[in-house]
Amino acid sequence: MNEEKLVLAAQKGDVNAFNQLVLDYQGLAYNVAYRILGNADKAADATQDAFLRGYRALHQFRGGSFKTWLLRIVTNCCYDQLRVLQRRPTSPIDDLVEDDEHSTILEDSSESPQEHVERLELDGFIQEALEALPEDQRVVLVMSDIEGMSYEEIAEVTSVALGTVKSRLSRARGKLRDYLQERRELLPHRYRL
Amino acid sequence: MGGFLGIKARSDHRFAADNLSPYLDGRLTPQEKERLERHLTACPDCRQELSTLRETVALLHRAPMRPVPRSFTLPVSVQAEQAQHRRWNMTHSFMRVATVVVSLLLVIVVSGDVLLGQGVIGIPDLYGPRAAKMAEGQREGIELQAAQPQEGLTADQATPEVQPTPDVQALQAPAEDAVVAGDGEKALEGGGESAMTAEAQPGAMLAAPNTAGEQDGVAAEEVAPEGAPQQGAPIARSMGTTPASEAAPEEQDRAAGSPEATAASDAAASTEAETAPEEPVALAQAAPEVQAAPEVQAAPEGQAAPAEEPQPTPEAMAKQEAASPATEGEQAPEVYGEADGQNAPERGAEALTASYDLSPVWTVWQMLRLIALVLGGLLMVLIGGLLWSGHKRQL
Repeated sequence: MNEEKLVLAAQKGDVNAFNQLVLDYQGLAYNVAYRILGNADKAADATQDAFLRGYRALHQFRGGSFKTWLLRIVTNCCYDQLRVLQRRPTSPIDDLVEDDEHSTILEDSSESPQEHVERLELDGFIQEALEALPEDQRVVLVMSDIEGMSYEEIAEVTSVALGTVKSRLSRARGKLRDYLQERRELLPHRYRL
Repeated sequence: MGGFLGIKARSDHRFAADNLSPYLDGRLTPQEKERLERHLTACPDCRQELSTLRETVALLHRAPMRPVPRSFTLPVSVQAEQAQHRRWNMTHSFMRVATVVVSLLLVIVVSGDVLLGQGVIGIPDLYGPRAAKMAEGQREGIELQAAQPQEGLTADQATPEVQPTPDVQALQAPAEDAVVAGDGEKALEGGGESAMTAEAQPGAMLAAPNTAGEQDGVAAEEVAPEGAPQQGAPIARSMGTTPASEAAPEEQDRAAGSPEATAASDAAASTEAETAPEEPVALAQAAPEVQAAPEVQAAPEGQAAPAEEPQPTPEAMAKQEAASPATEGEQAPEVYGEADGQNAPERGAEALTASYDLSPVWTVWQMLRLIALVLGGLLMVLIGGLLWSGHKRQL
């Protein structure tokens, strides 16, 4: 079934049709939540919450991009979590080390172990850098440069004007660049700016 | 060039610095792109800036995608939960609307109640459907008395008590209002003066016996010309029938009135006497009030003075006494009725019936209060439902 049919069936109350949509979008939803929140558990809570809310609010979906509609719910759940979240005094790197029940980073078979570790470090580093940004800039940067979304899609999800998206992204990139440049010695060689 | 930067150059630099990011994404218009690229050729700082930005974005693109820690699919039970949730939602919405509507209605009803009480809004039937009839009856009573001044009592002034039997009979007909109305109308037709008299008389009666007596005289005078009304017959009739009555009304004082009335009403007296029994009964129900008393007093006097109407007078008086209606207005017609014997009782009876008929009839006031009470109770129930359904739908 294509997405449109799934959405229609789900709107009539078909949970199985909705769960198919969940499987399609949970990767995107979870990663956005993780990048915004910086914490795996909170990200999981926000993701589950978002899908539950989405199912209950399906009657409000009136066509258009299901992806941006869903992500809007995800970011709202993240904002809710941010208000509640007590920042754990651990760095994202610790977070990675602790999560050894499941693989935290997708392995690239072409990578050497060295490269793999470096990527882990990078991941932690990026996350740290992201969390140094103000929330609204973080959200825009994550969606644009990590998830590859267009300005228009971002404007739909965040309910702001296109010009606002442009300026927020510009500032976010500049800040992140500055953060990384200040710590360039910490960056793996290959990634240093 | 030295260190000189022209204004245009400065603005170009500013423009470039602000637009490197969208330039990287290919979001500039062809003109903007050209302007920026031209500047880049001349500005090493901006070129450096662009380079580092490009690397940062590239780095972000390399950020690893984290796998989901578990499946986020929903349990099938949510379907049933959702249906229930919807129902509570609808109930809640309905309660919300209903509460608003009922609140508005309550406000309107209560406002109407208050406004009516303050006289801002007028409703003719405010005090009940009988009120108008009674008022009419009073008017007619007054007219009748005017026609029957002999009775003397202020009450008598208005009501043409001395009416031919048929009139009285007619008056006694159960159709109180109709009869009264008919009489009144006839009287009015007979002469506006009767009406005037009637009006004057009720006022006089209310005031004091003396006043009443005066008014009687006035009324009598007014009626006198017409003649008929005051004699106790319905104004119309009295006018037509009683030349004698004319003389009689004029003579009337409170005391004097009786004799005249008596004289005129002698003829009617017998009739009245017949009807008297009816009247006293009815009249008796209406407690004689002050007006009745004075009238009664006047009646005796009147009776004593004029030897003409020993019978009618006492009867009339008795009737008047008995007849005094609960309200002043009512008294007048009743008193008059007494004097007439025939007319008075009828009037009194009518007035009495009218007054007693009020009880089963809902007045506008009562209806408003009842509606307000019902709405208030409904509102409380709705608010309870609102809170409960609001709680349930959050779950």
